[in-house]
Amino acid sequence: MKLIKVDLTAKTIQTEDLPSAYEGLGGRALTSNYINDHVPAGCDPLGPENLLIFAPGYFSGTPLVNTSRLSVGAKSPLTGGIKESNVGGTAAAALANLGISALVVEGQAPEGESWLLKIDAQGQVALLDGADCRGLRTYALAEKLLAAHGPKNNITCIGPAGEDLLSAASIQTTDLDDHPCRAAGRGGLGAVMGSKGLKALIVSRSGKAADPLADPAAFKAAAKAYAQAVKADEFSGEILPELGSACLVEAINEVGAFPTRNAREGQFEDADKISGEAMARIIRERGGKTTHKGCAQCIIDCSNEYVDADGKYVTSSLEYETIWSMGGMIGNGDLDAIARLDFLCDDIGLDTISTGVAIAVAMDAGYKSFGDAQAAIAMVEEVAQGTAFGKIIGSGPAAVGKHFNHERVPVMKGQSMAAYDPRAIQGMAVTYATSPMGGDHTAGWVVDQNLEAFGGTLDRFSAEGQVEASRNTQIHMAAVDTVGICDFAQSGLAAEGGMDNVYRMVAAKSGQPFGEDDWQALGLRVLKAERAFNRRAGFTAADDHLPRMFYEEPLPPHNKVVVISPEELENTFDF
Amino acid sequence: MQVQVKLYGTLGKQVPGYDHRQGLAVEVAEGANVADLMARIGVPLKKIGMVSLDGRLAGREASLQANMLVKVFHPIFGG
Repeated sequence: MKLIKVDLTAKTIQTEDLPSAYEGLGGRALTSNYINDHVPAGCDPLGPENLLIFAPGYFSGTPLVNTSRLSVGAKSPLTGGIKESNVGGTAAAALANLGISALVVEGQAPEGESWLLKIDAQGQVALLDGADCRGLRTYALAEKLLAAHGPKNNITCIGPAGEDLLSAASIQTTDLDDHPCRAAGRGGLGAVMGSKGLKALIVSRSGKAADPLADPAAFKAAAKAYAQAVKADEFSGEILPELGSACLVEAINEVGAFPTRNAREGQFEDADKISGEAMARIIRERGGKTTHKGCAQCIIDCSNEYVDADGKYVTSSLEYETIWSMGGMIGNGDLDAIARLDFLCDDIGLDTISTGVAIAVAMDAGYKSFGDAQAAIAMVEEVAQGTAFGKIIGSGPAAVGKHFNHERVPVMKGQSMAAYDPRAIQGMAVTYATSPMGGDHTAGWVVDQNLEAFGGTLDRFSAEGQVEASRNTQIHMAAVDTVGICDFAQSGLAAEGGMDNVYRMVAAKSGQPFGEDDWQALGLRVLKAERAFNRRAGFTAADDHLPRMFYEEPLPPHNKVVVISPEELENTFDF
Repeated sequence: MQVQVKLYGTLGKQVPGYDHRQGLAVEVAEGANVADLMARIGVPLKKIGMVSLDGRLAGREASLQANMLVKVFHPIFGG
């Protein structure tokens, strides 16, 4: 349970035990509480007072499957509020197996300096001069660092977008194939890393000092039952391995909730060309990989390796949100172009959601035509080239809207929504508007309640029950993001006795009793810290509203608008 | 009467020889509903998350009409 503080101003490294105030926390609870406690809410997100924190989930480094989630937190340059963005790959397991609960990056190196932070298999931490890495894109950087430091390392890094301090910049991390294709994308945390002068973490994957379990036998018994439930579930055991998250394309498009051409429509006529079914067929025909393992300790294998017509690697992993943001949202039905855009964003270090929506806003404003995939590729390349317009695209959709004086910008707290239009699934309006993260689908995904069991246990066009569903899911997800269980392994939670298994594992790791009330309290503690920070940063009730377009523009084909009033949104949380 | 059926996700595995690009043309009796059709093609209802008839979500008991396009989806989970 080590806390490592690295000060880029003084170039000092300090290792201490995790303070008792944070005991029993990991992932999002640790990053958000630490930021709320230590970062001046009014600070410049790209200045020396901001902190950048990396924290593996509480279950990372344990025998439990699908626990390779790394939370990254800071004050966001995109939203101006608190941010937690989590990512898979190999970083969380690497840090947790070194007994590291959190890595806190403080201060700021002088402009122009570039540093690497290396943690070796013994847990020794060193700052290395990274001047020769400056400007490198992430694939070249990962290859160079792995050649220099050995293959059994995780590389967590930024590309040119992060170095240029652009607010759609991601932090990329390597998967099991050493590709830096996994992104902590949301909120511009790559720019925070860039502002510190930190280009990359190099973390040994050979650590053998994971935190001990208080009751290993009890933990393993519950972990085994959990894993069996994940395997037995049809979605995580069969559909995700074959199609990945892209299995959502046809379903969400069919219900008219697939935001198309900057959310002017809810259905994309070329959805069948970019669907999970189409993607899996193309990958198989070309000799690529479906059922691909991207993250340490994964038993779902929802990843894929998309290849070109010659069977050559293009990107990994092509997922639902990117297929939407670089597909339907910009009117592009060319899956090869989507794959290219996905690769470019990973390589340059950009959030695919914010970048795709930024392009969509530019197209909506008339800068280029919807469906012009080559123009989209050129816009992303401009980000890496550092042109004036590239910097606007790399700053996200709100910046693009401001540049063109264009009002149709689907952002909440400055961050773009994801691939579920709230006019066709009303509960997502609540999550997008009220999450402390800004427009964020993972913060409270209530799509299932609105569609399951032949059309939903909630009426997706009605306000009834949506606020409560989103509130409960947001509290639950704050706890899930704390223990660090992959979203797609939540089938293990949903199975009979699944939550009890999770409570048993928390208790078996900590040695303290843990139950349903504690789970709820954990989720609430996270949200309260995040909302407290945001209030101090200047957020008011009006920041829990939606842009006017969602109230004023009926979304075809169902021609509905959001019917949940701003007042109802404001009352989602009473703290 | 005949209806067109498309099966999504891995539901196609329930029907030997299913080709997703072609879909299925299925003969059903006049007055048949969604559940009847699923029984006819051998897709268990518990494997289904939602069904659309000509683009509109429909329940198990919804009646079929001649030449309808029936899309059958697996349950979804995500984020």
